[in-house]
Amino acid sequence: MDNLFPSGLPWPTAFYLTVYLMTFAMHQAFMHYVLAGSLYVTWVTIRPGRETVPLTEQPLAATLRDWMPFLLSAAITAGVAPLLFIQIVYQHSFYTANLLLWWRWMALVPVLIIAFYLLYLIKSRTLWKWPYFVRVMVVAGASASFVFTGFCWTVNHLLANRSEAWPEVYVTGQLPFSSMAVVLRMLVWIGGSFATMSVIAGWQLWYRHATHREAIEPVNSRPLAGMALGGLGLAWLAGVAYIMQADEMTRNMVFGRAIFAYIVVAVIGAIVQVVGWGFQWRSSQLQTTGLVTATTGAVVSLSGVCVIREGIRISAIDLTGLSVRHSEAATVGGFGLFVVAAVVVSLLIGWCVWLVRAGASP
Amino acid sequence: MDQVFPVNDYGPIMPGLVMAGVAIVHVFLAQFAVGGGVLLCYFQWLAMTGRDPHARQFVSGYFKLLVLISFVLGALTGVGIWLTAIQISPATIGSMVDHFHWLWATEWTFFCLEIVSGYSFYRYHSRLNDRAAMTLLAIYAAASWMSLFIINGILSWQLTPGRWLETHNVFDGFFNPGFWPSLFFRTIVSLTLAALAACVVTNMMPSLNRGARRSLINRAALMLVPMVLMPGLGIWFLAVMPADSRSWVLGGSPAMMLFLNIAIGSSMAIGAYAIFGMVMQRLYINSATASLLLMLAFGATAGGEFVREGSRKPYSIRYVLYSNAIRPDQVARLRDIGCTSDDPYGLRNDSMYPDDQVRLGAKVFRRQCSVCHTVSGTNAVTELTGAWDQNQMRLNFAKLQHTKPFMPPFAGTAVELESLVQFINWSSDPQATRPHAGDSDPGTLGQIEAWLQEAGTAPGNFEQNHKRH
Repeated sequence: MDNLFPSGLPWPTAFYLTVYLMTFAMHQAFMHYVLAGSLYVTWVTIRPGRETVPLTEQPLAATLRDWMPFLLSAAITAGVAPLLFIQIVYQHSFYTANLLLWWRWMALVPVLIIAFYLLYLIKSRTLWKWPYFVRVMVVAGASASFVFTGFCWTVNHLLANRSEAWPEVYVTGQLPFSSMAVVLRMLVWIGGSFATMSVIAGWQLWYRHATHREAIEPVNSRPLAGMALGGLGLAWLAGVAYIMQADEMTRNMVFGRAIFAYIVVAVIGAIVQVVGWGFQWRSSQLQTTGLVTATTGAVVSLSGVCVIREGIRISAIDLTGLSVRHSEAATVGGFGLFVVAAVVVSLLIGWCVWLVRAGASP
Repeated sequence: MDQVFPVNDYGPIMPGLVMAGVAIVHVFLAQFAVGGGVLLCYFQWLAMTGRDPHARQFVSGYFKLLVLISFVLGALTGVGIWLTAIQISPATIGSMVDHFHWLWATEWTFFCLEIVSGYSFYRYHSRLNDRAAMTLLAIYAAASWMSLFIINGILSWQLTPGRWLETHNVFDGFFNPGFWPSLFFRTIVSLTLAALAACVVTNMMPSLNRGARRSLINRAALMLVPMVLMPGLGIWFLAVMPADSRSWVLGGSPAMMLFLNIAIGSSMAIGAYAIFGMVMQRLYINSATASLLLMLAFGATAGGEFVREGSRKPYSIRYVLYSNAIRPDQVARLRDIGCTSDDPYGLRNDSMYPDDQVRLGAKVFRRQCSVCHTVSGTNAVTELTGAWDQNQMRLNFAKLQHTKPFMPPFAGTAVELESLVQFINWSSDPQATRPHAGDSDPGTLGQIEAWLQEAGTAPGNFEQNHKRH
């Protein structure tokens, strides 16, 4: 691949990869909120002394607890689309990685079911009447479940890229990569999730204040800015370390003509986020300008990182063989129906939002 | 070159049962969600028009259950069914995705709408006016039914692909012969599950007195009336099934007939109680009875789904893919090159086998048999072949599609077939001395080859055999 991604690829491959990446990025945004949100709620729950602070004085934690079940639902629903398109794009390698991981992979479903119910418990008032120890177990359990989910996907991704090792993995069950690679990739994901969560939660808190200006004190934006900046720093440090320890083929792809531009995009996105959160830090309150800047940066960064992640996979997989399958898939009908359905459903979703805003009882 | 996937061993549980377990739970929950949307619209209308003073309270309580069960378990078992399908038969799910991915993507848009409208109602209904609340519920109901509409087309295609086989047009496959009877049947099942769940929920609302509960239960029972159409729809579905599949469920396969009878018996029991008791005599049912009826409905769903999955045999996609993920057009080639020649995966417990012939047999079993059979657990080959001597096994395996018409043809060489026979023999009694350890007698192989030639590579011809009889 010598041209800028995805222009160097046959159009069906480029098309399915792009659709996959767009839906994947959307799923990631929701998942980031839940992951970083549950980790933050765990922190404020276990931090000595914080357990007695009234909820009204923890607006961020209260907002996260209130919204995480819905955002997890959104993440799972949004995740169906990339799960569909990854089967078109990388069918054989994705399926084989699933099969080789077997129960380690299938454990993901019951773990997520448990995590989902834990989020509802965290949202309920009942939990906060229970002893400290139980509260900690519940919030830590939810966080651990989401970290485990990320671990499963990371391992699946890495294993899918190592076709030469599959027969050995099948027989021995031993994974063919270092735990350092897994840890660094997960740190990129966890760090980045704090940046994304801060943006979404920032807008929620801003909206809450904007619509209840008289009743609610403005939220101190510094903890949110601190989390976003810290998360960004962690993600970038881990990302650089991952690239440094990666094999030559991966490095060549990442710094090659196809992908390098997206590193630049991701860096620009990160800089824009730093500017946005820096503005919030200075003002101490959530401001529209800062939030718009940070949001723009987050969208740009997330898009860039998703493409870089895919570039690493593409470097390890024979795309020539896959492109024949993609061409065949592209001849299947139904795309027009999907476009019509997507437009109609988007309008209906807009109507739902309007109904909630306009349909309040007098 | 065709791709071979690694195969996992589920011990005494046959992989098909794992799939069935996840699928039945998901179908039950998903259909409950579909019917629940319609039922909630009806009760919201009752509340808006003042026809039932307790309907509003019911809507709120019922929707909480819907969110806690369907939005969580329903959604995640939906993902689970996909991941399980990959575990059990990646070739089947891959083929379905290849052919119908845009329809699945369309279904996904309706999932999104379901989530947004459902959560909007759940979160804000207490402060919305009736009209807005009703609109949200109607959107939710329509979105969830549309997801049923779409997945029904893809699932029914597996058994009755119809004109798609000639045209490969996605809509010919979608609106296949089984589409409409299956859609109407599933819609009625959805309403039934929602109504029975409503009876359970009503009994769990402590603030209602018996009179209020009776009123709500009697109104929910109206959703059970369409069950009277089930026998007709069932007959319609049987009529469009391929003749051989129909014969399995009507007596050709005792297991499938048994499951069909469980589904019919459970549905009849629910339907009779609903029509004669709850609708005509307006009986009150307590939570125990309501729960029992719901469990019966689960049994009916399980039986029906088992029959739907099982009646496709020997295919997982009719005329396209056999249950063991081998395509009909691959059989002749695999007879030449062998089914293990392109399998890069070794055996997990290689050292436990006594010799290479048994090892080869284990690989043949893994590739061709293990999706539907275990060695010594459920549907075990050692049990099914227990009364056969070695020659009987050779003959029956070589002519497998004629031995049992719901089995695919053997897709391997004579050497592989003999090694499979030796693997099963050894598995039946690992301590026994193997008389010709590792050897294949040329005469035996010649006889197997002749039987394979006689059997041919095509699937068993059910209609021809019926005419002969």
